[in-house]
Amino acid sequence: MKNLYALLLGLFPKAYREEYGDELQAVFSLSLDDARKTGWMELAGVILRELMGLPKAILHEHLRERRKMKMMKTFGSRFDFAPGSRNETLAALAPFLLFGALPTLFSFISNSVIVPVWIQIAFALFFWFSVLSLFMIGFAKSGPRWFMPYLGLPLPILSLILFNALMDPEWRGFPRLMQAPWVINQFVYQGLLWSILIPLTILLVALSALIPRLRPFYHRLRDDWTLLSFVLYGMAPFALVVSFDDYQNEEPYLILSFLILAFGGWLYLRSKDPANRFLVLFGGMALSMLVAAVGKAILYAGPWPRLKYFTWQSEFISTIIEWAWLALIMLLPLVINLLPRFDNLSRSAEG
Amino acid sequence: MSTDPISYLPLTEPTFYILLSLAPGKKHGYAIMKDVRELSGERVHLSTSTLYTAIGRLLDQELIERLSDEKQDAGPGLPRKFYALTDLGRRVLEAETIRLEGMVREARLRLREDGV
Repeated sequence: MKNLYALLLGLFPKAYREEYGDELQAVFSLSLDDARKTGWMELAGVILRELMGLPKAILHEHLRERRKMKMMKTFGSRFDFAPGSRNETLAALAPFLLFGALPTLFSFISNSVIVPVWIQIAFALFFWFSVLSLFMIGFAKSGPRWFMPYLGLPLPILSLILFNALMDPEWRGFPRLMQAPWVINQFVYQGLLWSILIPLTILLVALSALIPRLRPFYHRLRDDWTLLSFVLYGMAPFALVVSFDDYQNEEPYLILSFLILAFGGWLYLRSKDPANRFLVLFGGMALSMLVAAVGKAILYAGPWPRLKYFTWQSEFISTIIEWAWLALIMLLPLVINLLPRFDNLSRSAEG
Repeated sequence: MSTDPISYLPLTEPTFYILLSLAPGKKHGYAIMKDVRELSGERVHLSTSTLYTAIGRLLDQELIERLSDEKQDAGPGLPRKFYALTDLGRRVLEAETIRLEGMVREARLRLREDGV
């Protein structure tokens, strides 16, 4: 009887068989074993019920399979990229390439070649529209893995807005800060700016736990803490742009930094081990900031309308301090991972 | 997929019992099948294929989720796949229970009136 049932399971759609075939056989087998212990009447009842239920279930699953195939052809499903696929990689690295490397490369080319204004505007719109569209699609799809850097992209912008809104220029600490040694001054000032990312990140996790619509995203974050690291990795492009603010001829260093970030992201998507995934992100961020620091030092030492009280050494060190703060923030997912899960807390509260 | 529990109502009797069976915690397929039988007072007997058709639909509706627990042994001969209620599934079950309570309450009132 069990062999006949296994044979009949062949009538289900292939995908369904692969997904549930073993379970169906195991449950059917246990039903038979239990019924046999009760008596032949019960056994006959189970067999009859199972055989009668099969045609309807087979038809139902074929219809469901057809519906799924139809749905797969919809626009949104084109962005359901398989983990590790080329499309997922391209989508995940777009913030580093479309927001970072390519516009910078284009700006670098337009410095030496005369490019009509309308082409410049068209390219800028194309880059922005692509990143914005992918951001909205990723958000609508409840935050797949490739969407994580997109989520991190606006975080430094929010941090900057909050910093400007919250910091009082009349604050008594500022004059004291100006009198402090330069390294301490830089460390505190940049700390005030970047540490706003810590409550912002915690708020992001808290909101995803509390808002039912975002709960699947929260579960994914808690199942794989490196996803939050990937979110924070997405803040690096904007941090780099801010770092090179007011610089001239910075494009080669900026492009190299963006490409390093993209390479780190690519390694992340290919790594299986969470520790390795975290390390490639941490390493990618460190290396890209080091390139920025060296680039700024070289540019500052060259012919450039620089301010007198800054030196190439101070530019290098200030970028390293910026990296130190970002690196500290990158450690946040490790700490959040140690906290109890929201669903466990609510269950124990119910208990 | 709608997040409004009301949009899933009314539930069919087997669906209600499957969700109810998962209310205390995760279960594998055969445990759900036995529990449904017990909860319904031996009235609802699900065949394996009917159970898994319902499970497939509930997974699509995100009312339940499929868990693969390698640490926990489901039992001899059983695959290590478990099913658990999602938050939405629990809210749907609660909404259906409230709906049924209301129906029973109204029915009792009317029957009492008729008796008088």
